[in-house]
Order: sequence, then structure tokens, then C-alpha cells
Amino acid sequence: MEHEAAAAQHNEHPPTTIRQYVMIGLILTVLTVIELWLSYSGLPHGPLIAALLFFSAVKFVIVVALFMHLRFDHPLFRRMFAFGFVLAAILLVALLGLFWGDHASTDLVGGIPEGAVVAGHGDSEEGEAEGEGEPAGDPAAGMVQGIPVAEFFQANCVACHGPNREGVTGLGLPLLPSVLDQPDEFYHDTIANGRTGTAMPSWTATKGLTDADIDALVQFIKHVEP
Amino acid sequence: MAAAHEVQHHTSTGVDNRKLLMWVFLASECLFFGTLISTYLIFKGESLVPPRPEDVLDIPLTSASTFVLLMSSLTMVLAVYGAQHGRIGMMKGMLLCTVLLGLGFLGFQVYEFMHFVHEGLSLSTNQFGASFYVLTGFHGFHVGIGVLYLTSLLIGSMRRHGLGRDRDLWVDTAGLYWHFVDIVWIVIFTIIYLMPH
Amino acid sequence: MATAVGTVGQATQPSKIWSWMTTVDHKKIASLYGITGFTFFLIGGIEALLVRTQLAVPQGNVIDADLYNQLFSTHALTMIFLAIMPLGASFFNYFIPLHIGARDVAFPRLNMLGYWMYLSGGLLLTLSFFFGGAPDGGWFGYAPLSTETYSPGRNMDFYTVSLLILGTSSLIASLNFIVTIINMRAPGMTMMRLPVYMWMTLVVSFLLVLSLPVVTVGMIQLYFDRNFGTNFFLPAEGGDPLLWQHIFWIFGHPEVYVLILPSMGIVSEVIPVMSRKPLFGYAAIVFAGAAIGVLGFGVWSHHMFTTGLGTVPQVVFSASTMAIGIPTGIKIFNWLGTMYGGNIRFNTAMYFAVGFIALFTIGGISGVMHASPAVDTQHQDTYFVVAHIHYVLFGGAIMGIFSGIYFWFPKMTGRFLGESLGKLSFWVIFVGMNATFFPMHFLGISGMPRRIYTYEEGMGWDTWNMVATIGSYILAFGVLLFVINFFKSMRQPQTAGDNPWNAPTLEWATSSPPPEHNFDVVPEVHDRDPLWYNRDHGIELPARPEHLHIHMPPPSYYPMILAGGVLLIGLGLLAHLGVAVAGALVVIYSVWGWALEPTD
Repeated sequence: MEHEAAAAQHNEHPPTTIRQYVMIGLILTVLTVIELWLSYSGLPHGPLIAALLFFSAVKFVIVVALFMHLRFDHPLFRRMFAFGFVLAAILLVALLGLFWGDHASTDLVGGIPEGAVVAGHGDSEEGEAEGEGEPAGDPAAGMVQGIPVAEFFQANCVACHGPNREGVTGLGLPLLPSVLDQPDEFYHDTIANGRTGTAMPSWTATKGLTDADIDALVQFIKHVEP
Repeated sequence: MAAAHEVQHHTSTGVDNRKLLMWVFLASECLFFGTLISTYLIFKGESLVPPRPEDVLDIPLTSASTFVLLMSSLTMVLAVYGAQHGRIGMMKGMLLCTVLLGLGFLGFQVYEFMHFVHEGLSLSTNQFGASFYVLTGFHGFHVGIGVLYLTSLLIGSMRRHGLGRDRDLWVDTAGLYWHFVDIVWIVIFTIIYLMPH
Repeated sequence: MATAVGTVGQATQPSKIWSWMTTVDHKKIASLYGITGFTFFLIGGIEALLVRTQLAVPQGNVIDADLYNQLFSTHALTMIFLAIMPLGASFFNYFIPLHIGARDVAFPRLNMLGYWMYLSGGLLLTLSFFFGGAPDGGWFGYAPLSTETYSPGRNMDFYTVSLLILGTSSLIASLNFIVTIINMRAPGMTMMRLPVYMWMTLVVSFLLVLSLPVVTVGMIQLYFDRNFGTNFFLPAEGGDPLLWQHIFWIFGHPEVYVLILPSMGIVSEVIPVMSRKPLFGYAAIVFAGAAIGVLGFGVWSHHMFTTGLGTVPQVVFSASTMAIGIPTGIKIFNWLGTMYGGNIRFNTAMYFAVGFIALFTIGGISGVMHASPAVDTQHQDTYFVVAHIHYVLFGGAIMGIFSGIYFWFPKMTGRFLGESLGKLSFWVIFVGMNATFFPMHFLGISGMPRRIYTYEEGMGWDTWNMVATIGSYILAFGVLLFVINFFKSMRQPQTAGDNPWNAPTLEWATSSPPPEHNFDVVPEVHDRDPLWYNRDHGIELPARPEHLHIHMPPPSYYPMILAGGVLLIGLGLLAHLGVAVAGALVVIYSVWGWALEPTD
């Protein structure tokens, strides 16, 4: 420790001269110009990205080492900063990997997310078109097991999907016309058979709902505002 | 300040508390900007509607503002040099230059934002708008804080006793912050503006 | 106002309240943290009791669904951010300078700023009940249920804004602690002679400094989504709710270690003292703590196994989660090894420490179970997870904190906490805790989802829910016994003496309670257990000099004003941006005043 302290005293000021600082500034400018030229050069994307990252890394290191004089300063500072920077870089790479890999895995399960989360369907606008050819009849007037569909919903579904069908965090998804953009068959299947990995049970098995009951529920959640 | 100065030479590692604080803080800031940059990259190409980056980004204009910020780093390091070598006039002049260059960079950014809004890109337009404005906006916020920080030092140095015995330390620590904001811009400039879309 | 008060403060003896509000003494700040944190602990406990009362019987209707959502969300937020973390910060504040042989922390005023901002954020979060509704989206506020469409009230804005303020407070405190531990150690106190508690503090502080900025970004994005029309987490517009989950858990998992590591540090101090032998495997326990810190950043996606991560990420995060069990296991063996063959004093502090080991091990084991994606998929969002977190956070963190309170109470006040009442409260808490949380394992396995506000009869959940509710009342009674014990003991005479436990660390080398400047003469450290070394080598502590010329920093009201400005900014973000601008001006004014304030 004493040695380190002495060394720090000794190197209190970085040895760089004004002329050297100006030269470093010039070099940084030249590097930026090279980067600009590269971005206009029409190189293929792979090498271009590599080259740009390389040059910006060089600029980064120059500023940190010489302008922030980390090169001449106490090693403690270097460790502190390196730890934060390396961690940030690793997390960035990991996140990008997770998200770029995510598209592939979503395709595997057919775009239907599992778990208690509403995952994105990028193509949600298309959902509306399928509602066009619905059979006539008031979706709010349907009956389930002899009771009005809204009452059935209040008695059986609100614990997970919320009294206003707004969903309950971590439990049931929102069931509002504005977000239900899958075809009717999807919801029919969900109510009939439940959804693995979530709290959604099979209502055919637990309550003995018929296909007609389930149809009434599907029309209700898809077309009636709460 | 005198008490703090005493402490400076009695720390266990020999480094000053305030400078250590700044470096650990900058490590923390790495994570802050790392997350913002990750968000930008994750949403790259996820915009459902235009304008997309290639429609609005004005690379020559931003190159000019990048140059301005780069030069402010140079003037900052010269201000630190002045403070460390007792050249007070140089320190004050360079601090002033840095503040002005920082304000210039902010001016460019305000102009750019207004231009983009005019082109139809707002926070709510698409994913590019949201992640671009939040990332560059928070960088600009940091530049703004830096301008206030350096202005305070400049005003402090105008007082009768100047910045006191810890002058070089005050300016040096502020310089660390300023350069960090600059290196964040180096990364942002490359990732947002120069990389192919 | 500021000027007037400033003159009064210098001219006359400041009033007692004012001296507490402007203090920069780390011990007083610690007391403030401790009292405020314990108050919030009681508030969070009341919230939990309401939740348990609602769930006692099927189809319960004590509270409605909306209030239920607010209660379970604020219960979690209160316990994590307003109780356990500040209680940890209270011990940090009190014992960092005493443990490393310093007179104060590196930045005393920054220390006070951390407290004031914690209080601002805590009040904002708690008072939200009366201003349009408390956060109701769970403590991890999953988007899109936390976005404007599904939570249109101000509820989740209180969540983002108060967590931003609390996060800044923790960041400030942690930066201060890091600098203090690295830079302010007494002569001879090398890093490998630091008490284990200091190492855990250092790891916790680094975890916070490096993880808080990540969640800060998340909170900002959620705030923008809700107020400025961005679509970071709205899938219909190209956003991605999974981004929120990743950002939240990159912070959230290190946060779990932030909650438990301080208690691990506390029992690492208590057990050697009460076993009357040095800690077994000092280096192992230090490196295990550091390893937990590093690995803690690489396991966050195990909270997201059911979101369809893909095979490779699941395998990676499963492996890293199993790996982080290893350093945790090492620590448990260290504690057991320390007790083995020791001449153990079984007092209340030791009861809680041993209780910590037992209960934390149960929670740790159910945690490792979830490292397997298959098991995790089964348990996801069931009461099994609730049981796990409570075994870790109550059985772990809170038991450790109680152990610390009993252990250090003589140092902090000069008085002992009553032993018989203490042991009684331990047993009541221990029984209540297990009665509350152990049945939740069964409930979870039989499929009861967490966060439902009521449930049907005949699901097979009735009995265990009733047991858990009864348990929660027993638990609350145990905490009440502690509170009674506290007030009773505060009336006792100060009989503790400097070192009642014959402990080896530096805080016991000064008087109880310590003077404002901590040590008359900063002791020189020769060993990992300095006081035992001195005792065995016949080294006397240096005598108190005739004249003490110790200069302590003067009180300052700028931290309070600055935090007031931050609170204004927070209120402005909730109400009107004009208020936020006013708050920013207050912040700028107080930073300038702060910088120009003479510190000697």
C-alpha cells in the first residue's frame, strides 16, 4: 500500500505536453474522418461494421487512456472502470443474442407465446380481417350452461382475468377485443383444453363446457367491450 | 476544503476519495448507457411505420456536432493541464471554451430534434423514434449536466481564492465526467449514424 | 428560510430535531435508517396481514380485487426497497466506519442525502394509497399489464417515480460505501483483514452500483411508455414486453443478493463471536461472496424460463443458476465449521443466526430446484415460488437482521436487549414463519397461482391457506414481542460495557455507544481478529490522549433541501412538469450551496 501511495504521488500529473494533447485531438479527428469515409464507401455490411467498431474502439481507448489519463493513473481506477465497462459490454452482447435468438424460437412454437406473458405478435394488424365473416347474432346475448355469458364470466373467469377483463399480472392475460387478435379457433382451443405452462385450466374437463358454450364465450370476449 | 485535502494524503490507497467516487460512478454510467444502447439495437429494424433512420439521419450535420464535442474534449484536457501546472488563465479560458463547445453541441442536438419532429418522427411514431430520442436525449442530458458542472467551476475560479488548494483535483474530476460523455458519443455516433441501416 | 435557519444553527444550540435533520454523523444517520426502515417493515407487515386475511377462506371478501392488487404489490415493494435494504443500509452506515477504523464515511453529507432521498421515495410510494392508488402490477411490474392500456390510473407512475428516487438513493449510498471501505481503512487494515461483513457490504455496494442503472433505464422507458407515448413494451406497435423482463431481472437478480448478502455478513460476525473461535475459512467465505456477486449478473433469465427463451439460453441460465448455489453452499459449510467444536453461547443473537442458516438453507434448496427449467415451468407463478422467496427473504434476510440487532444493540445503545423475551420472540417468529410459509409449498404444488385475490372452494387449498393465515398472525405477534422488548430494554441502565461479547472486531474497541468521533485514537490493526490478537499478544489499546483535537464535519441542511428538490421533481413527474422544473432549480441551488459550504 505504501508503495502504491508513493507511486501515486509521484505521478500526480500525467506527463503529456500541450503539443501532445493537440496531436491526440488531431488523431481523433482524422479517425472520425476515416469512419465517415468508410460509411460512404459502399463496403459490404460485414467488413464495414467490423471496421467502424474497430475505429470507434480505438478512439474510445485513446480518450480513456490519454485524455482521462487512465494509463498514468492509479491501477485502482483502471480496475473500477474496466469492471463496469466489461460488464456493460457482456450484458449488451447477451441481450442482443437473446433477442436475435428469440425470433427463431418464437417461430418454433408458431408465434403463440407460452407462460404468463403477452408476447408480441408483430403481425397484429391482420387479426381484424378474420372477424369480418362472423355469423350474425349478438355476442353479448350468448348463453353458457343456461346462464348469460357475462354472468358465467363473472363467476368463473375474473379471478385470473380481472373483473373488467383487464388481466391480472402474472396470472391471466387481458381478454379485451382490442388485444385478442388470434383466430377464434385459438381461443376455442385454449378454453377447451387449457394452456400448458399457465394457470389456464381445461374448462371442458373442469366444468363440462360444450362446444356451443365455448363458442359463446369466444364471441363474448372478442366482440363485447367490458 | 482543507480537511478534504488532508484526507487526500491519508487514504488507504493513496488516491483521492472524490476521484475514486467519480470513477466508480462512471463504471455505473457504463451500465446505464449500455442498457440504452442495447434497447436501440434490439429495436433496430423493428419500426412498423416510417420514418426510418435512413430517411431522416443527416450525417454531415451530425459529423459537425461530433467534431464540436471532440474538440471540447481537447479543450477540457487543456483546462486540466492548466489547472495542474498552475496556468490559471489557460484553465479559465479552456473551461470557457469547453462550456461553449458543449452548448454548441446541445444547439446542434436541439436543431436535429426539431428537424426530425418536422419530418414526422416523434417519440410515439415508431421504435426508432422512441429508442433514438431516449438514447440521444439522455446523452444530451448528461452534456447539459456537464455544462452546468463546468460552469460552476468557471464561476468558482473567478472568486477571490479561486478554486482553492484542490484546484487541479476539482478540474481533473470534472474532466473525467466530460470525457466520459464524449466517449459515449463516440459509441453512439458509430452505432446510430454510421452503421448501415 | 435557508439563511435564517443557517444563522440560528450557528448562533445558538440547535434544537434536538433540527440536529437530527441536519446531522452528518454516520451513527445518527444509521439510527434514522434503522427506525424508518423498521417502521416501513411494520407497514409492509400490515399489508401482508391484510393479504393473508383475504386469503384465509375461499371466496373471501375482506378487500376487493383492486385493493388486493395494490396491497400485494406494495407489500413486496415496501419490504424490499423500504425495509430490508434500508435496514441493511442502517447496519452498513453504523458499522462500516467502526469496522474499518475510520471516523466517518468518506462523504458524510452524501450519506445524509441518501437517507433523505430514501425517505422521500418511501413516503411517495406509501402515500400513493391516498393519491389515486398504489402500484398494482406486482413488484416486477411486468409490461404490458403495467402500461397505460391495462393500468390507466396513476398507480404504476408512482411505481416508476418512487423507484427512480429510491434507486438514486441506493446508488449514492453505495458509491459512498465503496469509497469508504476501499479508502478509509485504519493503518494495518488490509483488504484481507477486513471483517467478512465489510466484504459483503462491498459486494452489495458493487452489485447496486452496477445493476441500478439498468433498472433506471427500464423505469424511464416504462414512464415514457405511460406518459410520452413511446411503445417500448407494447407489442402491437413493435415494442417487446420481454425487453422489460430482461431489463428488470438484470437488476432484479443482483437485487436478490443485495438483500441476502448483508445478512450473510451479519451471521459471519455473530457466529464466530458466539462460538468463541475465529471464522472457519475466511478466504473461502470472502471469495464465495465475491463469486456470488459476479455470478449474480449471469443468472437473470431463470426468472423467464417460461417465456420461450429457446434451448441454448435455457441451458446456459440453468447451468449458471446451479453454479451460483456452490458459493452459497460454501458459506453454509463455513458457518457450520465455525460452530463445530466451538464453546457456543446460545443467546438470542445466536438463535437468530442459527435460525438463519436453517431457514435460508431451505429457501436455497427450493431455489436450486428452479434452476431446472422443467421444474420451474411447473412452479412458475404458483405459491411454491412465494414460499421460496419468503424462506430466503424472511428466513434469510430478516432473521439475519434480527441477529444483528441483538448482537449490536449493546454497542449502539449501551444496553442489552432482554434475553428471555428475545428468546420467546425468536420462537414465536420461528414457528409463525414456518407455519406461514411452509404450507405455501404444498399450495404451490397443488396448483394455487400466486397473486389471485380469491379462490374457489374445493380446490384442495382451503386448509393450508387457513394455516398460513394463522401463521402470519403468530409471526406478527412475534414481531410485536420484539418491539415490546426494544422499548423495555431502552429503559434499562447502560450496563453493557465496551465489549460485552468479547468480540474481535474494531467496533468493540471503543465505548458503547461510541463517541461522535468513534475512536479517541485510531487503533492499529495487526490481524484479522484485531482485538483477540491484541489480547493474546498483550497489546494495550493506546490510551486516550489528554487533549483531543478531532475535527468532525459540521451539520448541513443542504442534503435535506436537495432531497426536497428531488421529491419535487418526482411529484412533478406525477402531476405537472412545471413542478419538476421548480424541483430541478432547487436541486441546482442546493448543489451549489453544498459545494460552497465550508466543511471545517
